[in-house]
Amino acid sequence: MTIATNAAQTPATEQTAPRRHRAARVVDWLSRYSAISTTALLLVLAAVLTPSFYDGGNLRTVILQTSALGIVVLGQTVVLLVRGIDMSVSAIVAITGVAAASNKGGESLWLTLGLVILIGIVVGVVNGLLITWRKVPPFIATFIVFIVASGGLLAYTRGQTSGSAPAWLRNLGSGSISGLPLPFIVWIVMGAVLLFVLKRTIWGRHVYSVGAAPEASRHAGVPVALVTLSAYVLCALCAVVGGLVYSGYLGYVDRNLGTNINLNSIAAAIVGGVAFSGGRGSVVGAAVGAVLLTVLTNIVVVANLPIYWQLIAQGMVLIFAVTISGLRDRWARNLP
Amino acid sequence: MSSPAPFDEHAVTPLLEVRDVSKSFAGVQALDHVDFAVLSGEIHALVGENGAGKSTLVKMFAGAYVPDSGAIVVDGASYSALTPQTARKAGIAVVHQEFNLLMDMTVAENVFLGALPKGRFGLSPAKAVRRARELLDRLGSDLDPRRYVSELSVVEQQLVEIAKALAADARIIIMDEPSTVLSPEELIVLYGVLHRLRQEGRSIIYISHRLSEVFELAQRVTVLKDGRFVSSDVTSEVTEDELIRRMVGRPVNELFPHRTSAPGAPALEVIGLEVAKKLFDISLTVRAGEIVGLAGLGGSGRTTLARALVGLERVSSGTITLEGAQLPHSPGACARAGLVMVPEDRKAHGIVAGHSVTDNLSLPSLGRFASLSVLSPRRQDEMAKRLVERFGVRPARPKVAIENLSGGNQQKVVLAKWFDMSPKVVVLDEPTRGVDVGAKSEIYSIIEELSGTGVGVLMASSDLTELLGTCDRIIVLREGAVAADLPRSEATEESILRAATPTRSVASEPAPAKEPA
Amino acid sequence: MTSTTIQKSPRRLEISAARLRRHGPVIFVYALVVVLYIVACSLSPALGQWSNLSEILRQSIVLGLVTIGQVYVLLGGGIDMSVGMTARVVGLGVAVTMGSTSIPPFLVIIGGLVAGAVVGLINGLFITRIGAAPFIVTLGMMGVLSGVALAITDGPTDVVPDFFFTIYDATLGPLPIAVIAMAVLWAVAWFVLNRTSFGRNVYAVGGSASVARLAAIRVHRTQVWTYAAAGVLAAIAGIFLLARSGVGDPTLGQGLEFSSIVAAAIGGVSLYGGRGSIVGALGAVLLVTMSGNIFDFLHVSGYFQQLVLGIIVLIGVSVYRTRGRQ
Repeated sequence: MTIATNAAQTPATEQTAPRRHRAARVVDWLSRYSAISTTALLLVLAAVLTPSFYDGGNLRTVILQTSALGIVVLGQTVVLLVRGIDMSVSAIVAITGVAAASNKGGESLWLTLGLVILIGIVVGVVNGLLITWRKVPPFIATFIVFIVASGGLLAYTRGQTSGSAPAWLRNLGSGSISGLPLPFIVWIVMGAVLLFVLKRTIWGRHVYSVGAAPEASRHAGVPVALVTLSAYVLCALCAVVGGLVYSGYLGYVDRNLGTNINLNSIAAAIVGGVAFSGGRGSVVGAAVGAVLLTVLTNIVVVANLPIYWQLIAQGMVLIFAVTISGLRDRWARNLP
Repeated sequence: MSSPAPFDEHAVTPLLEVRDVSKSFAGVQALDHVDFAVLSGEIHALVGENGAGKSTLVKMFAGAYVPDSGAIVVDGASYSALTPQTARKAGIAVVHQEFNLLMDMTVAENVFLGALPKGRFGLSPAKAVRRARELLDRLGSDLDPRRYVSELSVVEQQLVEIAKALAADARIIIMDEPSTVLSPEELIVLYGVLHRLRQEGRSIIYISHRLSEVFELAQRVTVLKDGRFVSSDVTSEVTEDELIRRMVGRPVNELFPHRTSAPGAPALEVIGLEVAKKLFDISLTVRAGEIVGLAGLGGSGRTTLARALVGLERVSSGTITLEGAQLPHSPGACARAGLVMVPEDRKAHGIVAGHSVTDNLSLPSLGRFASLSVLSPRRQDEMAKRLVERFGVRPARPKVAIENLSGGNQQKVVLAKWFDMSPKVVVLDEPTRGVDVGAKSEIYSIIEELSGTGVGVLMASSDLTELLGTCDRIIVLREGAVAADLPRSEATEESILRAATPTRSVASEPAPAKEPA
Repeated sequence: MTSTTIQKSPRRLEISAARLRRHGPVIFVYALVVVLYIVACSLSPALGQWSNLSEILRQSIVLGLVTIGQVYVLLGGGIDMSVGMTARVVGLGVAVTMGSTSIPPFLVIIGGLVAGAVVGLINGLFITRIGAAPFIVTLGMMGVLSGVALAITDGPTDVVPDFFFTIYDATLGPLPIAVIAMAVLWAVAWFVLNRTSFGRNVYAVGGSASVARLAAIRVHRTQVWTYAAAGVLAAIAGIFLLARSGVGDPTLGQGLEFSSIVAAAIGGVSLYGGRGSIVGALGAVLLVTMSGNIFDFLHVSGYFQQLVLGIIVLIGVSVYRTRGRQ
């Protein structure tokens, strides 16, 4: 229990700290522009130090990887906006890949697609119910679902690395429209639609409100639980599409597919300015975050650095992002 | 120990003195050169309306606020500012309304938190239990220190807080509205405990709204009003009426618009409303165009009633109808049906911090600005511009983030967003809390204008001046039930306070001291 | 107004009943342990014999080590997702260092423990000084450490020196020394938590940081220490895993963070902090290890075990509404 404070008598801060104000402004700038400035910096470095980054083949890979991650990040963004987090996305991606790979094309294609969409909806609903109805903290709830889902998947595939992706999936991954890879187009379209929905529809406004002030939103008549649940379902569906795209461009299905996706999707969103505390951030920023992470990962390869630098870099991006985010929240609230 | 002799102020040096203390916040003078003294071994009541400065003073004693000027003198040592640590060392302990206890620890652990007694090998829970038992014995309680705090009743938890103070050997114990949560029987226990503390030479500053309690319990009483010291008297030398007069009497000001009321048909009807343990058989009516005030002491049920009307509290029985029709059970649905409630806690329930004024204004009624669920920024901006102008929101820039507005302007935004939904009845809970004088008067005009268009207003407030200045009728709640329904002609601050104050008296005999072994 | 009578101070029986309620989850866990033992015996007498039991105790050491650390962190109001990777990094690091340098193994092990403490300190500092969410910070650390582990080696390391095997195998009478040491560690962990100021401070900080602060408890310092402890214990776990397999396995420590959180939760430790007992956690560790033992006997695949464990936790978490901090 906390000390009762009269809501009205909150005094102005006792001490003025000009140094803190300046630092707070820096942190605020960082939280908004660090993703794009770091990406720009990396691109410049790549041009100077590892120009093979800009080879046609490599660029294409970067675009494909960014698209796949970016699609998953879209869903993670929505969940973060409602003050949540989704640790089950990597399991959904893996399940989707495996399910899709088991279908060789033809009439049952629609059945398979229907199946993975159904799986996505079920996972999203389970996440949402645990969090809204049973009041389980989001990271625990989605983590448990991740364990169950990935455990189930591993048990089903008996731990084997599954085989190659069927033709239809590969076409998804390698196809292009007027020169732009199909996955990229899917990402851009989904991103644009989500951006519009978040900024310009009632549901989108509800999402931002619930994340920024759940109680005030409830008082204003926003169906908080329903909005939260829909966010998790949407995230799961994005993960499904992401899973299809991943398997598609990789050309094979790996049961280890996207074990990093949990961390990377969260890191991308947070470094892109989506607040862990909810209610703040945009799809555009998260997209830049996805670009940042993919470029970083790719540069490690192109610079012939050992692969483990990828993991280290990804972890550091997350720590950096959450540090900026935490500082910003703290100083915005005028805490010491 | 025989009871102490009656006091002779001039003979004794005070244990605690407040000397010329002032404190202001953002232009509001919370304390204005306050001077008073507390003697040792006395229960000293501190009374005054909301906003009189009592809680500011308490926070200073607790070391949470720093005086702008003046000093607090404890047993001769003068402090221009206290911190929680120095306050504790000086022997001051505060028992707040909301307790600072760890639910998942035992009584003994809470009493000695941070200073648990040690044995031969590390901490000794047995010793802690033993010492806690000693303290509780001194307080006249047989509470078992091995019990977990989460299992205790409220008065038992309060006892633990007092035991904490005793463990820190506090000479001055400040009780902040301790009786609002206690039943009559529990109050007897509390009084007994306080008398024992007195017998040990400790002093208690007892803050309460219940004047009957003041007379039963305290040796002296100090009145604060509008941040200023009014008087300090021996309780046997003043009357309740005199105290009330000192607490509230003030010159009439020009804050309130001229009221012409012509109430129409009943709009909101509440019959037999009950909320478990909080509201009992509440019945009231608000007519169209009428402004009805809802007065009462802290904890009397005003906010609970406001919340119950829009479905935020579980109603166990009773009916609420709006123009004859049953009301739904959620704030959103009620708003659409024509009943809106402006909550008391603006920061937590009223505004969405981080969002713009426009976003805040449109949130409850987004459907109005959308076709096929797609929002139109243009329509929202038009609405925002219109409302900002009409309600006098400053700065008149709707794109500004709402937390950058002053309290008064934030409140105007909150009111605007609800009023723009053309409600039939509006329930306001502390509409001008944390609002500066200028904005207050604007808000009163807005409310007056609203009622002029036929909207019924139910206004809950702890500010009696406000109620008297704006309302046609004032309903007074007392301990969860309707105590009075005063028309404007009969309503005065004294009559409201009298109706709001519980009149039962509690035995004033201190609990007998335990026989020494 | 409904009158509430003041309850007379409850009699001893009522106090005991209340304590029973409070310690219910712990008692339930141990009851399950007994049930599981009976189930095991009925499946096969070999499972009930001492040789299997002592094996179970030995198998419970790794999870036990990490769970103790996680319990401290959870009680203090935090969570540590990096324990698994800390174990891996230290385990692999020790193996590689011993294989490729001539530094005395004793010092290498000390170095490993220090590394674990450093990881914990970094976690703790980020969480307290910067105020970043513990889950995310330790998740990021987990990522970084997984990269570091890969940097150390991407395949199995050389075989460890012989004395390592004695860490794992040595027995004193009927009991492996490692188990005795672990029992002592559990006892020490209990003692620190219940009979030292630090331990009570951990509970206080997790229960309510503001109340703890008012009681002049150093909140941040206490929390940092819990993370450091978790780091050191994870390091020990990593070294022990090394001793068990004799070789540095790149997948060392996989999933330890999940298992330790689940074990703590099953044992009654609240995920919000301030509540729970290490005795319960011990019971949960035994429970998990025993069920793994039974599953292995039934030749159930490791993945299936994970699935079942996950489902049980899922059901548990849906049914048992933890008292939230809203």
